[in-house]
Amino acid sequence: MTDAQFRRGLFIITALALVLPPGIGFVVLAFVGFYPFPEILQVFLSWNALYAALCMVAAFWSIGRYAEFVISSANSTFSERALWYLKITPWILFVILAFYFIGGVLTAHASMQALGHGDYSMAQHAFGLFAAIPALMITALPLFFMLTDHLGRYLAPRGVPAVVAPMWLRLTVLGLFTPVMIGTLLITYYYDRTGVFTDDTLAVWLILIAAAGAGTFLAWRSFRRSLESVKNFLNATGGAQAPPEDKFLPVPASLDEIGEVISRWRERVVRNRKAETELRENTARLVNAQRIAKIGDFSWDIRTNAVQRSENVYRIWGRTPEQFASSKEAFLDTVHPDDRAVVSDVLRGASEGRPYSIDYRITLPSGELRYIHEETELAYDAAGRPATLWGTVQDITQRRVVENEVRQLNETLESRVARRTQELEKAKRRAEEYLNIAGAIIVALGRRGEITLINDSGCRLIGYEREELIGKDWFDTCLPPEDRDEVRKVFSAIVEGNGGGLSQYTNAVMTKDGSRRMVAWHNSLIEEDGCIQGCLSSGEDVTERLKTEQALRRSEREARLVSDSLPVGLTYNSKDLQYRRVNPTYAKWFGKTPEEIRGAFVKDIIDEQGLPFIYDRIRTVLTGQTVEFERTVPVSNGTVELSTTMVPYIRENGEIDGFFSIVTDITERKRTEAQFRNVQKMEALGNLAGGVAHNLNNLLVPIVGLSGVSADDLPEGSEQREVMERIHRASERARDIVARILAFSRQDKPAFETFELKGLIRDALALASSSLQSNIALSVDMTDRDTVVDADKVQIETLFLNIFNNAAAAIGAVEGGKIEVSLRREDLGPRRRELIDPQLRTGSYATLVVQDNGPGMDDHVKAHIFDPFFTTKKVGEGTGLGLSMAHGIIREHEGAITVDSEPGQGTRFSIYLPLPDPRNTPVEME
Amino acid sequence: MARILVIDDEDDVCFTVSHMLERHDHDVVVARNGGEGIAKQRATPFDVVITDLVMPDKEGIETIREIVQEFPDLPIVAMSGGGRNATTSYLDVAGFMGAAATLPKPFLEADLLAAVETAIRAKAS
Repeated sequence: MTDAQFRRGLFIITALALVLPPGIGFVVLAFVGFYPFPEILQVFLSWNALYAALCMVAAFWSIGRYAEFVISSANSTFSERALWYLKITPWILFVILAFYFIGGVLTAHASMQALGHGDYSMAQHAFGLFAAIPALMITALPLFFMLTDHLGRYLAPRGVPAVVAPMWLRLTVLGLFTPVMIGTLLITYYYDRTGVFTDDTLAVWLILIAAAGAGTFLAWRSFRRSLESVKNFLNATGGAQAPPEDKFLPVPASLDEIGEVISRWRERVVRNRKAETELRENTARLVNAQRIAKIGDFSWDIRTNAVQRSENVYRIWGRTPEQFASSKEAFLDTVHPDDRAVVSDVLRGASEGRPYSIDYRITLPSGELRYIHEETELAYDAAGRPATLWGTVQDITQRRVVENEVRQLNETLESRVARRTQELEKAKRRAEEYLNIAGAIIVALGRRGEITLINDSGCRLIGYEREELIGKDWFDTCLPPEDRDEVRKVFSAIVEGNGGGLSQYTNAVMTKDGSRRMVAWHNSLIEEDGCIQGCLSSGEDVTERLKTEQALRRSEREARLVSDSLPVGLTYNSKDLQYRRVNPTYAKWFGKTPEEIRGAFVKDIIDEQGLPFIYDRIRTVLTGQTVEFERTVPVSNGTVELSTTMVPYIRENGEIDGFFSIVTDITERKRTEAQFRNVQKMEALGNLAGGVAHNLNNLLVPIVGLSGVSADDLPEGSEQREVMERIHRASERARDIVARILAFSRQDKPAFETFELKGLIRDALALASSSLQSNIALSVDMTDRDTVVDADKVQIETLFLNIFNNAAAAIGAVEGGKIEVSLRREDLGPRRRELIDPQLRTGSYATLVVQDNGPGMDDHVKAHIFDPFFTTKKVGEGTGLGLSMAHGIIREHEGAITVDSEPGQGTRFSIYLPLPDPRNTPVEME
Repeated sequence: MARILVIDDEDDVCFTVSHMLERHDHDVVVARNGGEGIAKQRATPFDVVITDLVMPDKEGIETIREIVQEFPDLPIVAMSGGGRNATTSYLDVAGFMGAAATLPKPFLEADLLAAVETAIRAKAS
């Protein structure tokens, strides 16, 4: 039943449900008419009709909705809930009818009251309506059953067992309930008309009920019986039969549909006729076919020993039905005496439940022999015992004759084939011996992957005897489980002829003890008559080689890792000076990546000035000597000092292939060395100066002292006194120089104290500016707050005055001289700190700057400015120790002093003094 | 006028100091090292001792210590051409050990007289 048919059926049933109950109710009530007031009857009936219509619409609408739901979900899983809903539908209908009854009574009563007929009791209304109920039910219930039938037929083919109203309920309602209802209605009517309700009336009523009950029971029993045979049929066929044809014809709703129903009925008649004709024709065709194929069929009723034979059986046997009795014995008589015992045996077997297939000979009345091939099947009775033997017999005489001839021919052939086979065997053995001598593993596989051949090397590798392997599946036996599927795929591709690229393939082989060996295969196809019969593979055990390769790769990787992470530059150049290996450290110096350098030549990387020097060294290394040298190399951001060791790479045959360079950045080391040397120099100088000064001082005692004394003793204005005074002045200058040398040699450890640097500088400036030449303008910028330092007050003051005096001295008497002094707080980040002095710590500093607009310095002066005894002043005017001391003092304070100057641009000294780290200041506890 | 003992290993220094002091009517006795100086002090006590610090045999600091022990009231003037150990100058050490005045070499006559004066005054108070 299609969805469209189902919907149409639903529509028709619902329409009937709407029209019939109120209609019948109306007719019955009009007929019964026991209300005495026709106008009241009208009112009541209108209410009644309305209620019936509403209730029925509600009931059928709900089932309709449900059906819609079933249609929409018919092809998906049918939910338990839907089934439950279907089952309670009858009860819903019952409840609706109950409402109909109660509502009818109440509204009728209300209507009567409103019309002024208060003398009508509620009981009378109930009684009146009770009469209407049977009429409604008689109409409504069959319609309901029709509806549920309709639904069931729709659902059954879709696998949904939907029995909404079980058969017992239908029979009870239609068979018992309906007659009883009608009887009750009649009795009520009778009572109403006559007012008589005697025992007779009751008896008639009870008889009516009994008769209806008996009829219902009989109907129920016959229904059960008819169901029994259907069940048996279904059990016998395993329930696999298609559901019975849909015989439900929806009630036609229009003339078109009537036409359709008729045409469908006609179709069915025509179809039946056609089927009959076809059956007849098929039978005739079968008889013909049997005759042509020399096939006959028979059946043997085992219990009655009755044999039925088709026409063709008689023809094959060369006997008429009269000559051939329909019994087993008659049949056995026709069988060739040599075969009779065997045939008799199989027949007995058949009677015990074993169908058979057999070839035997029969003797025709003419004495001719015929070969018969017989196939049988058994049919069983209800108890499972063999009942009938069905069979076909075929005359195979002609085939047998040909077969015999062929066999004779074969026998002569066989001896020749045997000889040939022997020769082949020998050749094969010889081939196998060759294969066994071969070191390679040789395996031949059939199309399905079975081992057809394997040589000794193969057996040794896998650890099986050859006998254990031949015929086994190669993949299941000799491959590790994890590789099986993949390799089998490769093999399939090869034998399908799609393995073009797979003639060489390496995979793991699992030996008998479960260990894995890697084998590299060379595969070739075995072809016979243009058909691929399998695959012949020669393999080489490459486990060790792969392991070695792997180890090599690993060690290479490790070496590269080490070389990449070394802070040492590593390169390898071939003897044509091309870079072959470069590590990142080396490449970084040249601002390149290793990839950029690899493949380049020495001349592309090394600076032009350095090239002759490098070429010279390379020439030496290529003679086989190790070369070591140091060189200042311009790099992307300045210069670095590089120490290089070049080691020749000499091959086993003595040829030099190229050279390795091991390059170390020694910039830092060089600087430290220089600093160390400087410190040593200063120390030595200090000691020297101290010693010299001490001796000089002793020598100066009489010169200074006595010259002064003598000058005083000589007459004022005398030439001698003038002479003596000059000696005295010169000796005093000598004393000052010695004092300064001594001060330098002292190398006093600073006496640290915490003070405000700004104040100190201000005081020192006050002192110094008083003796400043008038041509020099002084500007001071010390606005930054909090420049409290931890330093030696005296040393810092000396240092500042020293630099300040230097600035003044540099300007000299030139007009428009200017000295700017500034003091600032500064935070030095890592980059700026590195730029000033790599030994500085990152942090806050007080920066004191003294800038003059004097003549400035050239590079030579600048380079030596902090060297002891270096001075540009005239002899006797400076010791050359001032700035050297300044340098020493600042060092002691873990600060820095720098000078920026260009000739003609003035000079700028910057002094950086560390400010105490607030984090290091201990917190005072209250 | 005071009796003054001058201890110095340098002839020229001794001469110069003596000359300067004698010019101002001081009585000067010279010793060549600490030991000699102390011996002379024991024999004939002086009003002031002027001693060098760096000397062979008994050097100045040791001499000052002994004098201070033996003659606590004797004013001492220490003079030096600038020797020092790692951290402190010898003159400072001498002051610490009990020298009433110090005199860096070379010096003028006025410096010497001032130092002697200072030493005497210091002891007197």
